[in-house]
Amino acid sequence: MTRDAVGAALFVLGVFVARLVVTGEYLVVVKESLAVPLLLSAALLVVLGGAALLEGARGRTGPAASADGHADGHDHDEHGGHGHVGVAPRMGLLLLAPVAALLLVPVTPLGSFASANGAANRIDERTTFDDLPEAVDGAVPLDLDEVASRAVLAPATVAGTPLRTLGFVAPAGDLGDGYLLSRFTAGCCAIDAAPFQVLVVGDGLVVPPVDTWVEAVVEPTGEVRERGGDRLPVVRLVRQARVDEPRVPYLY
Amino acid sequence: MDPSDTVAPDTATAPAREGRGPALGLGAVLVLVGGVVVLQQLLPTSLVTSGALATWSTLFVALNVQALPFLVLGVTVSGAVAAWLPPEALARLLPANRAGAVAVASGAGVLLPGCECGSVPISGRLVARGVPAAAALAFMLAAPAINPVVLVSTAVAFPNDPAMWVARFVASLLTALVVGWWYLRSGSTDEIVERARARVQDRGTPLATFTATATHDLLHAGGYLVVGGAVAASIQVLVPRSVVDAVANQPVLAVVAMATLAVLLSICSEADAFVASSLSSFSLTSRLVFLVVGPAVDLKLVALQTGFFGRGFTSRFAPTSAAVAISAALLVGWVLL
Repeated sequence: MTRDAVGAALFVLGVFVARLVVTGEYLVVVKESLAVPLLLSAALLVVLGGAALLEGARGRTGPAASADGHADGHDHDEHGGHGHVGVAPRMGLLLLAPVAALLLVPVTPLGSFASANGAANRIDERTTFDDLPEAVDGAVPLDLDEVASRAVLAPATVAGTPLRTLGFVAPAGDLGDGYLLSRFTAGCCAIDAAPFQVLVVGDGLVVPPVDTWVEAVVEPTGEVRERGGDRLPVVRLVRQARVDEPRVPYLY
Repeated sequence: MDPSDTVAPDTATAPAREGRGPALGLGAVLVLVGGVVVLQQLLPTSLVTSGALATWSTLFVALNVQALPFLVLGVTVSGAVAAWLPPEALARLLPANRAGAVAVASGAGVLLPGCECGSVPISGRLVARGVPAAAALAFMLAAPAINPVVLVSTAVAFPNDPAMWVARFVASLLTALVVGWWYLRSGSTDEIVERARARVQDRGTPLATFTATATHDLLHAGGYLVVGGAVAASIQVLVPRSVVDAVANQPVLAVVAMATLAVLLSICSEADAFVASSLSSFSLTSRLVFLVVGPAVDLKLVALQTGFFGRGFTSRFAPTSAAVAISAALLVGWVLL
C-alpha cells in the first residue's frame, strides 16, 4: 500500500470509530466506559492516517522519498530481512472491513436471532437474593436477568408479584402462545452477551413485532418450562407498552 | 507513485516481487469505500436486516471495536520502545544468565496492561532491540495473562471463586517460564531475530521512527485482528452454544473443548474471564484451561505471530505453548480449584 492508501485507511477507520462514539451507537457493541479509550484511539488513527497522507503527498521528492516512498507491498510471509521494509502490508486494507460492515448493515443490538442461538438464562445457582426493592406505581422495577433468575431459583420471592421490566420481543416458537421477553447481559461487550428470557403469556395477549422493545409489568406464575436445556420461567402479563430501544441495550 | 528503489536484485535479501502487481494507492481505497456505499444502496432490505447478518455484523464490529484501544495501546508502546528506548537499557534490566532472563521477563509481564494484541508487536521490538529471544517470548506469553487488569477482570468475573484469578496467575506464569526455558534449550530463534530486526524502521528522528513503526504495526496487527474478529463472529452465529453444553459434562472432552474454544474465539484476555464465567456448565478447571490457553494461543495470536515471527516458527511455537498451557492449567486447577 502506498502512503496515501495507508493514510486513507487509518483516517477513515478513525473517523468511523469516533462517529460510533459520538452518536452513542458504540453502546450497541461495547460498554460506556470504553468511550474515552475509543476516542483516544480514533484520535491516534486520524493523526497517524493524516501523517501518512501528508507524507504521501509531500514526500514524493527529496531524500526521504527513496526510504519510504516505494510502494511494494510487504508480504508477511517473506523470509529474511532486507535493508528497508515496504511501506505497509496490504493486510492493513482489512481495517476497512469493520467500516464496510458498519456501512452495509445498520448496527443493531443483539436481538431475537442471537437469543435463539445461545443458551438462555445462564443463572449462577449460588446467587443469593436481597429483599425486593420497593414497588413503584404498583410494580417492582427489576432488570430482566433478575426477574428470570428469581423466577427460576427463588420463585417464592416473586410469585404473583407485579414486576416491571424492559426487554425485546423474541418469538415463542414451539412454546405456544405468547412471546419471549428477552434481554442480554454482557461482561465485556456484545461478544460475550448471554440472553435472559421469560415466557410472557396472557389471555388476549397481543404479541408485539419481533425485536421491538417493550416495557412490561408481569407476574411470575411459578411455572418453569424446559426447552433444549434452558429453563424458561412463565410470567403472566399485566400490561405492556412499546418503548424505544434503550441507549444501553445490554445489562452489564 | 514513487519510482521503485534501484537496489540491484539480490536473491538473499530482495523482497519477492513475483505476482506483486501494481501497489494499492489512494484511488483503490476510495474506490473500495465508494463501492461499499453503492452496494449498500443496492442490497435488498431483507438481506440487510436478516437476523443472521445483523448479528454477525454486530459481533464482528464489537470484537474489533473492543480490541481497538488495546491494539492502539500496544502499538503505541511498541512504537515508543522502538523509538526511544535505547537497546542497552533493556539488556541491562535482564540478568546475563539467560535462564534468569527468561524468569525476569516472565515476571515483567505483570507490567503491561492490555490484551495479546499488544504483546506480540512489543515482543518483536524487544527481540529487535537485543533482548534474548527466549526471554522476549516468555514476556509475550506472560504479559497478556498476568497483568493487573486481566487479574482484576478475572476476579470480578468469578466473585464466588476467588481462587480463580490466583490459579490463572500461577498457571500462566508457569506456562511462560516453561516455554521460555524450553526455547532457551532447544528452540531455534535466530529466524525470528532476523525478521524482527527487519521490521524496525529507523527513520532518523525518534518521532519519525515512532510514527512509522506504530503505523506499520497497526496495519499489520489490525488486519489480523479483523480476520480473527470475522472468524469469532462466524463461529458464534453458526455454532449453537447448546452443542458446547453437551460436551461440558465429559471431563476430557470438556478440557479439549475449552482449549479449542479458547483458540477459536480469540477473545481479548481482558474479556475472556467473563466469557469463561458465562460457561457455567463447565468445571472451574476446564474453564481455567480456557483462560490459560487463550492468551497463549488463539487464531488471532497465531496470525499475529505468523506475521511477526514467520510461519515456520509459529507452527512449532503455537502447539508447544498450547500443550504447556493445558498442562499447567490442569496441574494448577487440580491443586487450587
